[in-house]
Parts: sequence; structure tokens; C-alpha cells
Amino acid sequence: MNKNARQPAPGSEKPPLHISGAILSSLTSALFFIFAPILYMQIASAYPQIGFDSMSVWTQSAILIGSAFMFLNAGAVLLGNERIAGVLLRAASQVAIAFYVLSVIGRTFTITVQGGYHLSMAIYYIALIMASLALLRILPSFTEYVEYRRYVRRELSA
Amino acid sequence: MSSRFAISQRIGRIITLMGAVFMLFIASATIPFVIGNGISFAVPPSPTETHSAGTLYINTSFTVENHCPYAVRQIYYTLNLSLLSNGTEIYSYSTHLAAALPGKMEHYVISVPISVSALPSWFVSAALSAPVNMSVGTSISASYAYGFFQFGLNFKGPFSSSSIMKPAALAGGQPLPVCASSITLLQMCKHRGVAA
Repeated sequence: MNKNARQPAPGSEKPPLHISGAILSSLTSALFFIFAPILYMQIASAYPQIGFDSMSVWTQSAILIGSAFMFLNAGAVLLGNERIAGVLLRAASQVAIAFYVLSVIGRTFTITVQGGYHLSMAIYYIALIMASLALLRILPSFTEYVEYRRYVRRELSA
Repeated sequence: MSSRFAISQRIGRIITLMGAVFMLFIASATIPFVIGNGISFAVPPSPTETHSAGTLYINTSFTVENHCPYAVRQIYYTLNLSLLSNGTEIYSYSTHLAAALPGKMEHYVISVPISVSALPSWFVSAALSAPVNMSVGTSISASYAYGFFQFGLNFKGPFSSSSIMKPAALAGGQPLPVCASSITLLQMCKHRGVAA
């Protein structure tokens, strides 16, 4: 008995759906996107003498791009890197999270304090590192797809 | 499955792990701000001015109390005097301050000396005839947690040249009596041949 007889040949059926992984990743991303605005509001309430600028813009873009990322990422994990749709969704989700990080975090927050003083905070480097880490994740998922297709073709021809 | 598939899966996991480690670092730097007084920064409402021997001192004092695990480094102080009309910079002063290390309270007093001899001569002659409206700008910049957080504290307020030198018109007909009270201004006036 050869190996292929015991196991169904890959490629003859559809690649599996990663349901548990999709649930887990959407839970973690939901936690992250809930945690970030809570952190921001906690800072604003812990320091009442300072008032953050453009709070509503920050919250709106956090919710909009965050929810877009959540759906894209959940779809990408569900389909997996074995399908081209999963790889494209993964790429789209990583571009979305990089855009989110650069636009929401990578800017100067102007905080006003007492008297004539203005306090500002810039965290450009954090945004840059987070965005590049997110964009880097496109490469291995694309490689996984290419390797999976090559493996399926080899198994079918054998 | 091929080894390259496993390698790319491993690379993906390593990138995720790097992101998680970086997020932990950022959380450890920001959570002290949220749960307590991570870094408290006390500053008076505006810089004060003092006179001493013909020199004006603009004093800024502030206290940094650091309870965070990372130091506040590269504290840099600059002061600018510029014309209110066209923004021309008259005087600039900048200095580096020591770092505010974790668990320490640092008190900084910066007094910037402004003497007439340090000011451009065209400005001095203009200020001697009529007071010139200026703006004083001080800025303190600091970096926190290895430069990932950069803070800037800026102050911009009105400033009149009469706090350095009195114009001749306000001196009641006398030719520049303010020169007598100010050594540096006196030297300036002698040099110009205005006061005998």
C-alpha cells in the first residue's frame, strides 16, 4: 500500500478552512482594537489638565480601519495561505493595519497644558516599526501559497 | 510538505513574535502613564524675568518626576527672541540638560542671560528710539523609552524690548539716562558715540 492510497491526495479536494484559527485571530484583533481606544481614554482621564486634540477623529478612524482590518484578517485566516483569495485578503489586511498604524499612531499629538505651554507627543518610530512588521507578513504568506501550489502539482503528477 | 513551506511558516511566526515583543515593550512604556503618575512634569505658568547688572535673565524652572521603567533622555532647551512684525530672530539660546532617570526627581532651573551686547546693532538702535514688540519662545524637547516617544513643551508669549533697554523717548528728554544704570548698555552707547 502506498502512502497516497491511505491519505486522500492533496489537490483532489479543497484546502481546509481554518475555522478555529479565524475565531482566535478575530478575538485577539478585537481585543487590540478595543484596548487601544480604552488606553487613549484612560490617559485622557488620568491627566485631566491635558486635553488631547482631535479625539473624535482618532476614535472614528480607529473604529473604521480597525473593523475593516478585523474582517479582512478573519477572512484571510479562514481561507488560509493555501488559496490565492486568502493570500490576497492577508495582503489587504496587512496594508490596512499598516495604514491604520501610520495614520492613527504615526503623528504628533498636541496636548495643551496650563498657561501658555503646549505639550506635544510624537511616536513616529513606533508607527514605522509596527507598519513595516505588518507589511513584512505578506511575504511569508505569499511564499506559503507558492510552495503549496508546487506541492499540489507534484502530488498530482506523481 | 516541502521544507520551504515550513520555513516560510516559521518566518511568519517569527514576525508575529517580534511584533508581540515590540508591543510588550510599548505597553511596558505606556502602562505606567495610565495606572499612575508615570512621569509628572511641573512647570510654572510662564517664564519669569529678572534683572541683574544690566543683563536680563529669562528663567524657566521645571521638575520632572520619573516613575517609569525607562529614562527621559536628550532634554534640550531652546529660547528664541523674535520680532512680532516679521518674525526675524533676534536672539537664540540652546542648551542640553541632564537626563531624568527612572525613580528620580530632577529639578531644572535654566536662566538665559540676555545682554545688549549680544543683540544685533540695528535692533539696539531701533529699540533705543521706540520699544519693539517681540515674542519670546521657549521649547523643551525630550525623548523617552529609547527615543520611541518624543515630547515637546512649547511656550510662546509677548515680550517688549523695554525690559532690556528703555527707549530715549520715555526717558523724559534726557539723552538715554538708562545707559547709566546698565553697564553693557553704557558700553554700547559709548561705542556708538551717543552718550558722552
